[in-house]
Amino acid sequence: MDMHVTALSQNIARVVLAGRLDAAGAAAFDLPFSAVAGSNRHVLVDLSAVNFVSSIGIRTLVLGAKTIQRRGGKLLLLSPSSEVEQVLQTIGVTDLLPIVRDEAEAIAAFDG
Amino acid sequence: MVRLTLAHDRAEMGRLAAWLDAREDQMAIPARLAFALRQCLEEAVANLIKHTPVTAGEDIAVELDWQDDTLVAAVEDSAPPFDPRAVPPPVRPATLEDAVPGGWGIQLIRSFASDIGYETKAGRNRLTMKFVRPATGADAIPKKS
Repeated sequence: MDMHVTALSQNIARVVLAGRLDAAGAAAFDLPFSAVAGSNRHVLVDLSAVNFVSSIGIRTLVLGAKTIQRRGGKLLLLSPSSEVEQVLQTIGVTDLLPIVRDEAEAIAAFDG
Repeated sequence: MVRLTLAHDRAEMGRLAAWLDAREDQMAIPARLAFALRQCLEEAVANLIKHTPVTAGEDIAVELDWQDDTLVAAVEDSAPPFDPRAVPPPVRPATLEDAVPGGWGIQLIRSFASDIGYETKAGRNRLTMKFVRPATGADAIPKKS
């Protein structure tokens, strides 16, 4: 699991993840992602290069989204694969972690 | 039949992932079936490591076997008996404030495996999960209706 963070705008951090967000990957991803969630108003998590996600990885995303929401921000997921999206839908978190298809849609959702 | 033995330790999850990588090629597991298999084994083994007590010298065993067009995965452990089929589905939270992560692993196993079996015998639990090879050209994740 690789993670890097860029600024999409002054208020929006873009977190690009790549690889498997599984138990082994989440062990390395948990702390740095929590730090990003605790220090940015909005966070866009780019999942386009994530080829697997388990419940442990989704837990980290949900806890991050809770942290961000408490400070009035939002967490959105960008372009998960169809398989990853099926996992998110199966456990019913797509209302809590909304999915967007491109950056323009993300920026509009953050502003809304 | 191939078999992997894991210690009761979260650090073993990486070894499970690497073992599955090798088995996908060795056993010619179609991509979508491999995704469902990985989902179920990851959740089943992670749940055991997280929720069951550590007992020295006792392990978690993972087995894989093709039976005709069905890939059969089994997970064996020596923890107190626990039938995941009897667990009610978690309540879906309406808001992020209400969201308490948990219970998702069993829900994913139910959704991604075609069939789930469980038995306990001589102090060992055995969870069996089946994955049916998709018809030719329909390489889809098996999904229950």
